[in-house]
Amino acid sequence: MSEQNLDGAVNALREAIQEACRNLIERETLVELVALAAVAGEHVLIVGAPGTAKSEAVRRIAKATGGNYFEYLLGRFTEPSEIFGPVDLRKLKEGIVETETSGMLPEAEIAFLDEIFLGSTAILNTLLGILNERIFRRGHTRLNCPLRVCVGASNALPEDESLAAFADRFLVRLFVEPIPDPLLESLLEGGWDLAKKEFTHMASMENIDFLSKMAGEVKLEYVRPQIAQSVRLLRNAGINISDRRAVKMQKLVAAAAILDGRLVAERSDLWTLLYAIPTSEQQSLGRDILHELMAQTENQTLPFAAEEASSGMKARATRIANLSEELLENRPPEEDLPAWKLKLEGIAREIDAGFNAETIPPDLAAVRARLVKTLENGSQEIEPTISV
Amino acid sequence: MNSRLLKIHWQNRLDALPPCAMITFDAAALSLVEKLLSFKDEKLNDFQGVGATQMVLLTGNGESLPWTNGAIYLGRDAQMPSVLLPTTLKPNLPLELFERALNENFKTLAPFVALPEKIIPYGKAKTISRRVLEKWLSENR
Repeated sequence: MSEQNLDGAVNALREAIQEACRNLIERETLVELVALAAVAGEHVLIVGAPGTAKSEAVRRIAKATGGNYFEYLLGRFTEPSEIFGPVDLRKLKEGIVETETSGMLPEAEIAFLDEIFLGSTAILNTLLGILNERIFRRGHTRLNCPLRVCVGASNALPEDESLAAFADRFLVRLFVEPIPDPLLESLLEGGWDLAKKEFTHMASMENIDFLSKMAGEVKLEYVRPQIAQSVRLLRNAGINISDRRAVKMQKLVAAAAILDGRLVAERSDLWTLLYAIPTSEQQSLGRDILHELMAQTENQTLPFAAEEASSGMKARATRIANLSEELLENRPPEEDLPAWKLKLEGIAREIDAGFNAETIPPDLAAVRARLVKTLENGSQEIEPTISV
Repeated sequence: MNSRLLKIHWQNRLDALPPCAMITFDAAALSLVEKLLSFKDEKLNDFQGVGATQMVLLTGNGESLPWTNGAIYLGRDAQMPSVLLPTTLKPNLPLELFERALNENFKTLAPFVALPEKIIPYGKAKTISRRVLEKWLSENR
């Protein structure tokens, strides 16, 4: 497949992610991980309190990628027909048990199931087939499902062993907290603007399918030793990584490489391993254990997720550079200039507080120079110095 | 205000400290004071500062600190919380020992900013006023 098609698909998905993240506060990582999981052919489990914008983030990436979206809040008494569709009564009269799946989960391309562990055994057993094999089986109905990614949500991880086994089908794990206090104003503003927003398709399921196919061709040889060593280190620290999970982690690494426009996985893709660690406490421990491995982390398409995984300098630099360029390229009208310049100053401060002359990457240094020139009204005399 | 030279080796931090102060010298200090003078009085109350010849130090909430080209942002390391350090650097020696040595040898001058080239006490930092800023500007322009 040509380089041009790969770049086109990556750019389309990157724009879709940016579109989905617009006015979304502190949920950028979730949007990016849904995209990563979709390309990897895996599923996401989000653990967090109600009202933390979990479904909103998934809904947005579905809209931005034109995916057929299904969402449902499960309860203890939810019937399978509410998720998979009612039994076709006409066929039933003929003695055939078939399900009418139109508009239901078996026909969804992106799905969000809230309070997933409250589902009955009947629901979860049928769901297993859809998650693992993308096949819906119920009565006489056997349907290939177009599902790219299922996002399950819950307030907490299940303690019941049988539910834990079901939870293990969700490779990617993200633990979300309510928005921190300093960001409340942004949350209110973003939420208000969101209500008026129309979403634009920036990418398509065809882009995701193409990237998934390409991810299968990514060369992992150069990083496989580091993946194995990471699993060893995590297991030695008491973090249970099953053999199945260890093998599947490679799919996330390959997906990250493709989303960064490469057919060869590098060390900078290993941040994805963190999101396959099962619990929140284990992810914190894993971040410390794998700190050195993740120091070189970055990803052009998934900057928030990469930075959050590693707290790495390169990932942070990419995120800041992207944000700066977006602001610099959207100079507002005169009356809004002071607020715009304040945002530019905030970014300049983040750069100068986060990097020095030795550690600032060349791309970010160039962006900083543009920021300084804009903030100092295009002065040519002042050399944009970065201290220490 | 006195400053002392102390030879210590420094290394880059993988994770920068969150900023809670900034220090500026020469042209950056002038630029900072001019910027502070453009703020409303209520905003000036968000900061505490201290000035010396061709130097201004400002402390305050990290996200409120103004930006000026050439400023050095400062933060606190949990291992030596009483000393302000550049957010992107740390001394290449046990931090608790460094802090103890500073406090024992320069007790009357604490607290400190520790930079690669100098240690600066800033014990007289206080809420800044327009009058003080204007005075500093006239003496340092």
